[in-house]
Amino acid sequence: MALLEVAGVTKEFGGLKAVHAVSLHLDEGQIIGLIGPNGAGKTTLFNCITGTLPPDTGSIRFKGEELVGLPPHEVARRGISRTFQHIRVFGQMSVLENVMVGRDFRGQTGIFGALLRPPRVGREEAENRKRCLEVLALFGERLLPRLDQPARELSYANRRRLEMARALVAGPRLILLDEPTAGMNPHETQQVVDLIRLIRDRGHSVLVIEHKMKVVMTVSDRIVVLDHGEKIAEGPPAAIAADPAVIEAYMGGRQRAHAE
Amino acid sequence: MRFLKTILANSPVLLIIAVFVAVPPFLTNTYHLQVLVFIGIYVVLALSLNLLNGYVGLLSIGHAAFYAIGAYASAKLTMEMALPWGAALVGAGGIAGLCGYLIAKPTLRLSGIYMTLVTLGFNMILFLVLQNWMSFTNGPLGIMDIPPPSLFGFVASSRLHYYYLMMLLVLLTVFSMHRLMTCRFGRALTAIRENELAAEATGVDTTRYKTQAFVLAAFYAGIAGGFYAHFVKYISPDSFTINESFILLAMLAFGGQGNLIGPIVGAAALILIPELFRPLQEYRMFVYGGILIVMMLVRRQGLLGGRSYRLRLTWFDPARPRVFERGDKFLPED
Repeated sequence: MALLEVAGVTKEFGGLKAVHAVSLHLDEGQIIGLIGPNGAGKTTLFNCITGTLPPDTGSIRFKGEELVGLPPHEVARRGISRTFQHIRVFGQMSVLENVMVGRDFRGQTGIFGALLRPPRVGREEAENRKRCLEVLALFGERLLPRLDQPARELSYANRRRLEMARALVAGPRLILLDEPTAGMNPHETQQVVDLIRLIRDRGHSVLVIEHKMKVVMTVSDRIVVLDHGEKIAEGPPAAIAADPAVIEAYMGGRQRAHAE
Repeated sequence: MRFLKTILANSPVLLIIAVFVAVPPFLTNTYHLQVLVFIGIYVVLALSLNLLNGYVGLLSIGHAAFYAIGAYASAKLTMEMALPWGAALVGAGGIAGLCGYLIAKPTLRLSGIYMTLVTLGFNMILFLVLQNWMSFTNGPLGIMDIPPPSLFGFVASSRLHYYYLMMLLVLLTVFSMHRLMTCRFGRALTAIRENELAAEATGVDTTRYKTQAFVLAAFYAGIAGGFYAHFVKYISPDSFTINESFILLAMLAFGGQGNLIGPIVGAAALILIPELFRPLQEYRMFVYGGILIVMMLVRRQGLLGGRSYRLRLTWFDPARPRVFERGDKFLPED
């Protein structure tokens, strides 16, 4: 059974069909690349899956359970984490706190727990810290030496890493990465590619939006191409690279055809 | 001796508390004590509003409503139900908290400015209710002869007694808030303020946390109201107008919000400024307004706003090295 099954999802803004009848499926342990020109509806599809923007029609099933209609935090609790295209870290909070928020829903401590501080609160915090440090260690020496630094002081690439760490620490079955290498240099990009593979090896499935063709082609098991909100192609990287519809969408062949 | 030294080095807060406990008995002027007690009341109020405006980033501009509910509830509970002051104070907080819940539940669905308008409207409506419900609140005449605070047979009779009770209340407020904010709860609230969308997407139940914060803020304000009623012994609707809410907002704007120190400094400063400039008579409000304007021009986040401070509020905190828990131990061996 597919881990994630998106069927006929449509999302309209006014008259604009941002996503139109898109279907895709993702099996456990796969890395799926989602590509398409700007405005193709990739991020909107992410928003539909995570409940941030509920789709108008269609169904999204995760581990057999319908996600449409669930609020974002419930989707996250069921095992889908995400990062954002425009970085959204908690600027004033420290790096460690940022990551700890990623495990918020696994915590038990409420108001009274916080006030009275029974021993289990201390254990929970310690456990939480430990798991966060483990995840931060995946990023080598990038984030660990900066645990107490406010997130807004981090470099751009480090803030991207921090978002990924925050998503990973929740222990999701599926992680959605929205342009994880945007604004990174080739060296940093390669690190992210390695990291995505590592994430998969740790047992998370990955759905990744990416513009850098080299990244998508090397990292994905399968690629889904969106254009103007519709799925125009799907298949292994080699087949996608040769697909005339994809080339046309990217090279603007349609406009040329119009002109002629 | 060495033990004492380490305590002081690691917990400077203890030193400050010691000063506030030791010095007042030597103040002979009851007016000074009176001002200090008022500062205490406003510290609790400003801190309670800070929970919403500073930590969660919900703008409430009608916070005096909960202050009023606490004051009237506590007065009514002691005078008509003959409850001891301690119980009435908790009851006042509880009733204010309950009202907070009833307001928060439907309005937190609203976003931004709409929710702010509801808090403003609530404050105005409550003022009218207090003003016109003659049989219960005695209308504009207010409630007189509220009994002094009493705790386990001890009855506060001098200004100094009030001062120490207030001190206790402020300490309880600061310590309890510090505990809340250094735990899962505080992290979630700050995350909601910093980026609500991201907080939601990471699994934080934002509506639930916001409701809890709203109830807590109302609870603390109710407690402050309960103390106020028994301190001045006379309450009328005029003490709880929109003006009062705006003074609280000014305190947060002045001192800075989003941490526990800013509101304390803001409350103390904005109570002290008009008192210090009393010789100027009615011109003192010019000074007050002028200082606020200059503040907004020079330092928009307030004196101590825009960052969080590490308050070492534990009794003994052997200053842990701040950063640099190197994660080498988690890295695979080469």
